Amino acid sequence: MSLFRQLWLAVIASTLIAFAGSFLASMLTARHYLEHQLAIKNSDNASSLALSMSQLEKDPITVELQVAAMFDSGQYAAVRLIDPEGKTMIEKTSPPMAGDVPAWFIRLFPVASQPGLAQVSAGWNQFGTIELISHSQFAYQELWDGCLKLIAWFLIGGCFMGLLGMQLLRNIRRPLDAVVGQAQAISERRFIRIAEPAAPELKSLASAMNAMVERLQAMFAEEAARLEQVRREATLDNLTGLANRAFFLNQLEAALSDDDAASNGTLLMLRVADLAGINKRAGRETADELLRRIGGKFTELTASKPGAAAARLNGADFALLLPGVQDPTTTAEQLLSLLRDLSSAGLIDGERIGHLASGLYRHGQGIGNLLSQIDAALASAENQSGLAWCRAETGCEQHAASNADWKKLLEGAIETQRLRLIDFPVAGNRGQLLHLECPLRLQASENGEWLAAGSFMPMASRLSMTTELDLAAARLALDRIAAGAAAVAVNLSGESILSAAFRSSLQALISGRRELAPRLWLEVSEIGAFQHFAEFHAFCDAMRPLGCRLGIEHFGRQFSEIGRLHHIGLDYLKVDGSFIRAINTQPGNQAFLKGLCSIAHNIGLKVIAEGVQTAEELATLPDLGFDGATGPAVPRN
Amino acid sequence: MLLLAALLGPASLFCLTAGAGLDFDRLQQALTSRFGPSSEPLFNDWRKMLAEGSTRSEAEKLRRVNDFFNRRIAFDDDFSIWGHSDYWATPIETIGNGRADCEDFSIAKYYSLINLGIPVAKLRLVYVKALQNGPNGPIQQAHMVLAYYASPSTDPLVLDNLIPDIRPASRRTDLSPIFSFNSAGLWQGTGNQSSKSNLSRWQDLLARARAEGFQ
Repeated sequence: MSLFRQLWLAVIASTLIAFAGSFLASMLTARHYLEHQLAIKNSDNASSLALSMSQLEKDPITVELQVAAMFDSGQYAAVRLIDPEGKTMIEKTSPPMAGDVPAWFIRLFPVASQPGLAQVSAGWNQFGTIELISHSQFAYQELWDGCLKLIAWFLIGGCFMGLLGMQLLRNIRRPLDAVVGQAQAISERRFIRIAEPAAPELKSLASAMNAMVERLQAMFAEEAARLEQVRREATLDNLTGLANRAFFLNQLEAALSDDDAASNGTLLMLRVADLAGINKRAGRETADELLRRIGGKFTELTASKPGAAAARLNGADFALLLPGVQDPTTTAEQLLSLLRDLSSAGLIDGERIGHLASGLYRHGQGIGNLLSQIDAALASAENQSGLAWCRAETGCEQHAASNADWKKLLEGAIETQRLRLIDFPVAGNRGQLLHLECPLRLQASENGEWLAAGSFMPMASRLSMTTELDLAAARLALDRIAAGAAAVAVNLSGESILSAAFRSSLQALISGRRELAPRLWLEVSEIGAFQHFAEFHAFCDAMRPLGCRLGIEHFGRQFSEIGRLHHIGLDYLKVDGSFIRAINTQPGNQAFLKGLCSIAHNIGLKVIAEGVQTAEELATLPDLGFDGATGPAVPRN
Repeated sequence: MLLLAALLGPASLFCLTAGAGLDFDRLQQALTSRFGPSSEPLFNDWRKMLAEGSTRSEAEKLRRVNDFFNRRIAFDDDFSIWGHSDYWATPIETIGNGRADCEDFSIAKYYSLINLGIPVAKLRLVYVKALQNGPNGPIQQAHMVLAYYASPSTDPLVLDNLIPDIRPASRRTDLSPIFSFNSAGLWQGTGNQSSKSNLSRWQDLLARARAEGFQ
């Protein structure tokens, strides 16, 4: 029985007991009092009649009249005159008066009317005995009225007690519910604080729970900070804070081969011309300062372009990856002017300042091929003068379609539903299928080429058309689940979840096929999730009740933000391929990923590796704590 | 509680009528605690008189009781005994004081006769108007006597303290009866009646006597 019901019963029972007790006591007391009063009245009236009769003539008429006068002027059930031998001389009786007191009540609480007796004498002689009995109707009426009043008071009091009890219970239940909610949230690895109630018993419970949540949060924050350090050491260059060579090459490879990467872009390389000379002449500190300044500029450049990545490859070489950018002129000129500024500031003292090479790449190009082309361009820049920029002839320049063309293409495809999902298996450690990751493909024209997400999503994003594409992808995914797929994951773009309209349409779409929802996995890229975290949170809150699995893909670069994921109730993380590439040979990344998995598991998230290329990489993952993997090395079965 | 009251009423009447089982030890205790050991000889004599009289005829019982009180108790008015007028004393109070007013005489005789087995129905306490010879000629006075009716319709015998002899009422021309009563059919409350304000003087006396040990 619920606590609520038990307390209710207790309130009702105690009220009833109190009522029964007071009812019985007051009824019995009142009845006793009334009987007493009746007896006194009978006795007194009998005495006064007897006294007056004793004084008067005893002729039958006078006697009769006296008895009649007494009887008629009062409310008597009977007045009798009995002679000394016990024979009734005169008797006057009246039937019980009709009243509105129910008969059962009279049976339950009978009021005895004790007869009053008094002697009538004639001189010294005995004349008779007066016996007088009053009606007890008025006593019943009194008793009945008292009973009704008591019941009324009891009802009022009972209702009042009930309402009071209800309010009290509500006051108790509210904080209890909050604690239950908090405990449930903890089981879902969401760490929320609750308001502390005023009642000390409940307050200590709530504050203990809050303290526990805080400790857990602090624990995770500490662990996350430590891991962030590990990540920086494994993937970043100490001096400039840019990515190191190994990590940058992973990123570059992801940009060239990942399915949802942009279809083309620019790779830019900068080399400080005579770093060894500067080091020798101006000292190590000046050289370091120079590198830091250049690093700062690169960081600035990547911040302004989504998906861009920068690195210090080695001593004097810097690289900048600009996915989706076909004309790097602006960026290149900014870098050239930076070098000029550094030269005039005296940080670069020689004739030879630095050289820049840039080259276009296209998705699917080999990394070695691209790098050798850029190297060639850099060599020719070095041959030109002290400060120069050369473009590599990579042969992948193409005519860029205009915005209007793209809009037409996208609209046409959406309208005629020239959209489909392709699928890649995501497998657990024992090779079992976790779900199918299904990126969207779009057919450019009828019977035309099927475009990868990376080639049309950036345009869709620029044209604010991602919401329609994402809804279409979700619909296709649900169809696929309905057709028998075990579980399907679709990528939603960060732009889409910004839109409240999209969130509610998606909610409506999934609600309509709710039975399929538990097999639908929805994921948003790390950039999309953290850039507008409040909207992402709202998105999670809207989708979680439907039963969908929620996750973040391409996770890792913003690892330090993991603390924000505690309370939004995610199910999984997909770690970006740039951390996974060649993981079997990179102890630094291994340490980072091991920690990441441990933290993620602590907050209830499954961790899946993206872009696993080789069987060796795949074999390393379970030891690091990964729950699953996807990529070319994961067999399709 | 009600049941108790209903049972107690008739039971006490029955005991009063039968006169059986007077608890003399309890009566004596009540007497000594209020009036001290000096009153004990009178009490013992009364007890002895009741014991001896119990086997005698009704006429003999009447005579012994009448003589005992008329001889052993001195007449005094309530005011000098009790400090206020019209106090009805119980038999024990009368014996304890050794002095009594007219109604106290009648009450003590009434209780004693009932104890000797005279039925309540044969006894009446009677308010009478008494005519007495004073220094300035006859005066009228409110008085109380005990009347004994051998049968309901006969001339009663009068037990009085003004004239110590028992005489038939017809010979007591100095007395004219006003009203008579006894304890038959009297409602006596619930046994432990604490609110005396609700009782008549007669009921009050019955309650006090019961508290002393008269059933």
